[in-house]
Amino acid sequence: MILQGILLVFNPACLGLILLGVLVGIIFGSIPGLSATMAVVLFLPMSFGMDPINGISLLVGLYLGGISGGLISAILLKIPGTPSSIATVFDGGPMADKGEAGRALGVGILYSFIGGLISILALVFISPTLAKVTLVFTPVEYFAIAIFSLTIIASLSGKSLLKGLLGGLFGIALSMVGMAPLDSLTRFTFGNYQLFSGFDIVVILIGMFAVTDIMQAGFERKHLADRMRKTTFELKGFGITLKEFRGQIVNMVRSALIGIGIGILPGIGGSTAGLLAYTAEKNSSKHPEKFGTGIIDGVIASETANNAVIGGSLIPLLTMGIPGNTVTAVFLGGLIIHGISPGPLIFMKSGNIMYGIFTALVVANVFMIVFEYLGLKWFVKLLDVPKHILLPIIMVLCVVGAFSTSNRIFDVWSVFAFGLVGLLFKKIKIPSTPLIIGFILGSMTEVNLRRALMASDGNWAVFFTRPISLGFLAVALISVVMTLRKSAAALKEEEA
Amino acid sequence: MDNRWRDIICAVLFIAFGVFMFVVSTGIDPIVANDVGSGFVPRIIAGAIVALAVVLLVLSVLKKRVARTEKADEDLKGGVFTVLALAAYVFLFDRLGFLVSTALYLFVQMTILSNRENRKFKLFAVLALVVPALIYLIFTNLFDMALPAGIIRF
Repeated sequence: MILQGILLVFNPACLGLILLGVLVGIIFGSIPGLSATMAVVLFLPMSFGMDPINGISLLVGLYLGGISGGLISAILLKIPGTPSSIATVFDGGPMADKGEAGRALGVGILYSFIGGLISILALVFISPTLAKVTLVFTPVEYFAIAIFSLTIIASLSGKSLLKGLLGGLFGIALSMVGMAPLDSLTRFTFGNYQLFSGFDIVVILIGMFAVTDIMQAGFERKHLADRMRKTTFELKGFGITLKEFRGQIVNMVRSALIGIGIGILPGIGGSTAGLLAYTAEKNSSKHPEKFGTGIIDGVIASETANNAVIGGSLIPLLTMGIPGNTVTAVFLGGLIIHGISPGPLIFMKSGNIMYGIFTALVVANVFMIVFEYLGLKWFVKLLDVPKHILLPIIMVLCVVGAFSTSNRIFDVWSVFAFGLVGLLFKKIKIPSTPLIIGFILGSMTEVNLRRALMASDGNWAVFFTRPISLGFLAVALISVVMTLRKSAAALKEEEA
Repeated sequence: MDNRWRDIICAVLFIAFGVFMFVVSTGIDPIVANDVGSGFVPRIIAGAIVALAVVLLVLSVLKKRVARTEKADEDLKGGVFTVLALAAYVFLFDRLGFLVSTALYLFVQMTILSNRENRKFKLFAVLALVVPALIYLIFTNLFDMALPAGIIRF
């Protein structure tokens, strides 16, 4: 089965698609405003028509390339190409200012590769075990996990906890439009049959991110050309000596573990992983004061962690069917379309595909390091395309993507409507990530709550008597309390 | 608009939404035996939205007035034109077809987003013709996905 899976990937078509995916992913990742998520969203409908392993390999390449491309603009422009690369800006930017842009890029690329590789190993070795553990999960446990994941919205809320929570609840509300679970009652459709199947996550994503972005660009058009500047760089090797590499091993391992852990936990995502690893490295460093002045430690922590999220995030997706972030949520759609239902039985039902996915990941990772290294000169040129030309073209691609999700103009209108919602959210300062996570987790929460309550004859105590469920709810409570304390401290600081 | 007023407006919007959602979901009764029904969770969510929005409202009303106003550097015209251009694009998307509507949209949107120095109509026109054609060819031929053909068919 393992060999069959590997062989599935090693054919020209599949390798070609991974190549295409990695290249397009890197381009999407490196352009601020275009994300790994968008790359995967855009190509998802195209993958529908392909063989399962080909379609999924394409998505794997896009995901890996998309996360890895973010470091290019993070270092060269000090704008994170993807949210995952936020922490890369802290030290990568100053390194570029010191004339070490090439070194920062080289180190970033190398550790992106290493972080990805470690997490793929974790995926291969942990997921079969985790899959067995999750076999004993009932709706009770899944509900507890959903609640736990929902509490993470709180820590993603940014400055205002209340507004983040409101955004998350709004996302849950949106997930309820259309046919209800269990009894298939149509609700909140207001007589519009187009709404019977609810909103597609792709439509909400394109609307809230891409469409909102271009509307925002319209309001800020005077400053659109401001951030443009020509970039140059030079690089020898990967810009790191063997001695330096040895000195960074602890940093590398810790950052990779943080990335994998964050990846496994639903709803946190690469940006948090990078920031956490950066903070952890800074706090344990002998020279914390040098962070932010342009040292490789910071770039290594951030880039190792955000790429380690990739393997980590695929663990719960494949073994439990839980998407931990927006990319894996789209992935889930891609798997289901091809008749692969992620869950504890996936190794039995689709073992070949599983090992195929693992192989595709490794291949994509190798392609990534080769192409980022060879192609940096050209990627840099793409960043020079003026925004007033780039954004409209991206918009067209998004409209095409929205239309292609189910070939109806209604989805294109929905995308426009969600663009307006996103704009409103920007104006009243509500972060959009909680909404997306609320939307993703909303139906999972409701289905499992109702199933669990049906099985227990309406007895709510089941959630506290089963150990795994109790454990997740306890962690959820702790996480809420900690976030509340942090939020209160931040509020005091603001008032002072 | 200062932060305080923005928060108050935000809270009021959410209270209205929450109340509306609650009213609609009270009409949904359980059908399946033993089930809490499809209106149960929506009512909880609606209740939570109203509760949190009320907290936000109270907090922002009580907040001391800060004399910090948003910088009025926004270009309202550019934003409104962009929104209108998008709306027109979606409206014409299946009526005129992908090629024509996209060419029009690209040209108009590039013109809106450009400034006096980088407004190059010739370049915009070439891009507006080449980009839709390329996308159309890639989608319909390579990926075998239909886009609205509209008034031009090939």
